Amino acid sequence: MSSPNIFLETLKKTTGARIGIGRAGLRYPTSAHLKFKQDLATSRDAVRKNVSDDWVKKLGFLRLSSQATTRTEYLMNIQMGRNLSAESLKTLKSQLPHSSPDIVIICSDGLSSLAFENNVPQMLELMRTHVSDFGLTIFPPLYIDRARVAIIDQIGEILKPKAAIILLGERPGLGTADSLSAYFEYSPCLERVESDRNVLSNIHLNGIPPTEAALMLAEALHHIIQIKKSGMSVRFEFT
Amino acid sequence: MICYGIDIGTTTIRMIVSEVTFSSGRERIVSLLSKKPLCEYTPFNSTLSLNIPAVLQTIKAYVELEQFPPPDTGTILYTGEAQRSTNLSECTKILNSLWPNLLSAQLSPEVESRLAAYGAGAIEYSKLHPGVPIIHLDIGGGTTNLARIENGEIIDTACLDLGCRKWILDPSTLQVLHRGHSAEILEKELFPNLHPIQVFNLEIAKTITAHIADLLMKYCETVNVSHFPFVVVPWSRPTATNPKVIFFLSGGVADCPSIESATPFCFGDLGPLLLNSLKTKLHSENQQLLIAPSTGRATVLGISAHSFQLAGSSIYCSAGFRFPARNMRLIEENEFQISKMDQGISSLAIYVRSINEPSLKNIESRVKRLTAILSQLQFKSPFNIAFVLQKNIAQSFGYLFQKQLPAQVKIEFCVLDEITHPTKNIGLQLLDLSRDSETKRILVRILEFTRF
Repeated sequence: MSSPNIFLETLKKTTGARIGIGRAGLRYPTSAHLKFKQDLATSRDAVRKNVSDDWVKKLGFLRLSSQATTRTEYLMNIQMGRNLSAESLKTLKSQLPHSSPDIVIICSDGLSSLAFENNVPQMLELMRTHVSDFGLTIFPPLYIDRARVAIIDQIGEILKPKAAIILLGERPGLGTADSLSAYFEYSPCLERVESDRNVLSNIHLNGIPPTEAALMLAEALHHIIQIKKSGMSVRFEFT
Repeated sequence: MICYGIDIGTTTIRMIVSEVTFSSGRERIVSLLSKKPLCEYTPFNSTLSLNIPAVLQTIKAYVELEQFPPPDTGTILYTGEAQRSTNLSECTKILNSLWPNLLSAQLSPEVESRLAAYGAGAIEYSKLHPGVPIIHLDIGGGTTNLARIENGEIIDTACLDLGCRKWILDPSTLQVLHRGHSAEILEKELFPNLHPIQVFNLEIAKTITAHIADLLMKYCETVNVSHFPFVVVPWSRPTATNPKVIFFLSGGVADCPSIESATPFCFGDLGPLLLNSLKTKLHSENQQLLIAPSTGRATVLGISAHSFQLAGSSIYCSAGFRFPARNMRLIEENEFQISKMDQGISSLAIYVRSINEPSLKNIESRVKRLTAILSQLQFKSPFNIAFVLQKNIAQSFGYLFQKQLPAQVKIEFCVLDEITHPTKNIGLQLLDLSRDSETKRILVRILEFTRF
């Protein structure tokens, strides 16, 4: 292999971006075209597929859903993803604890069911254990089908925790279809706005490893409870 | 980058100057510019104090004479008796005022034995002669560092309080100017009526050096040496005597001229006579003695130091990890074996490779394996271990390790993300960790030793 090729191969290993894919005449080589199609199909699957009931049961979630009853509705009407369905609202209210928990952990497929399936099973137990290390109480974890980030405020209004976190799938790209984001907030309620939340994104095996993210998030939740605030005025030294 | 390696030992100060260039990212090319002993005697005020102005003058004069540029990196090593001096920090401070980039290290006997074996070329010789057991003796002025080597690997180390400058004599009158503690014991044993000997003669000196040669061989070859009087660090395990063993000699004694070509007391010590006694002893027992082609420890000083700070999720420390942790030997995980653990050491750094995918399952299985191995170790006092990871998973690795470690295992640990990786060029890597009391950031210092 000549020297420029070695350089190109080295460069390609440093990024998931499609660089140096070559060409056949004026078009992409067939292999690059097929890989593109494959990644596009994976991304579409991630957006369209629902998380299987097995996963939700296995991880011990209470399963709820947003007002969006289908994936199409979820994608076309953002507001529907921000509120629980009437039935879920009833279910959640029937589970109200005697005293408010310190923390509520919410998970959702969001825009990528693959993000949930690949990352949440590795994070949940670790995050719960580490949160317990700080002596904080946790409400049984909630799984909400087709939720948007702001649903955290509605849940907060009902359960009144000191802090809440929602883990949900990011919009898939052609390089990564299983990236997860975690949004967390001190004292969530309907008056909160986006700048009251903090986020840790790019959680997946080739980004921030889910196990690392679980511990960082547990510490971040402990921190915002201690300082009694979250959002833009709070800085985290995650790296 | 210009790199200085200065080895201040019991008898000599050695210096190596090299130029380090980087190619293809992390690959390093080291060109040797100079490698030389700077003086016949390390200047001391007393046994416990270096003569700092004289040390400084010796080094400075050599650098000026050779017109070396100031160093970008480097290390000052204190070895043998010199590391027991009370004014080392002052010496380092003064050298640092000249060259701020130099870092200092006091080598423990265990590390010194390893370094000496690398530097002398004994490891390389052993690799070329697989199956031949080697005992490496680095006999300096104050101490003798020993290493058992097989198939290019050090399998055990030891250190004895015996050397060629236990008596310092006036070369012209042979009057005893100074005697060390072990010299007094030997004198009482060999010459009970003459002790303390005021003036040496050839017969007395030969009797003493023959006895030291006997003691050295006895310690090297005897299986059970639990009552040996001059042990600083013992062999960690008994090894059966092997008649085919080759003795590999380095250090100040190996540098001495033969007594046929020089006056025996030309250096004011017993070096030339001790070399002669060793040769005679081994010859009479049909044992083979090889004199190392390159004898000083400074010869292993190549690329020397990197230092940087870490904080946040790139580092995880258990609550009881003791800072500063100095001179932790960095070894590959697959090299780590309980049977090879040297009992004299109190800290270690392990390079954890090949967690290809940082999934919970993979991290857990690696953590389980390591805790299972480390749980077998039985230390009387807490043991410091640093794990250096190939992937950025310090937090989860550290957290899971903490949870897995049985409460009765006295291990305190620190986990670091991707700070270094052992390369083929490196004979030995040492890791230092200290904590800034104000910022709580961890200062990481890596010393790398490359043989020339």
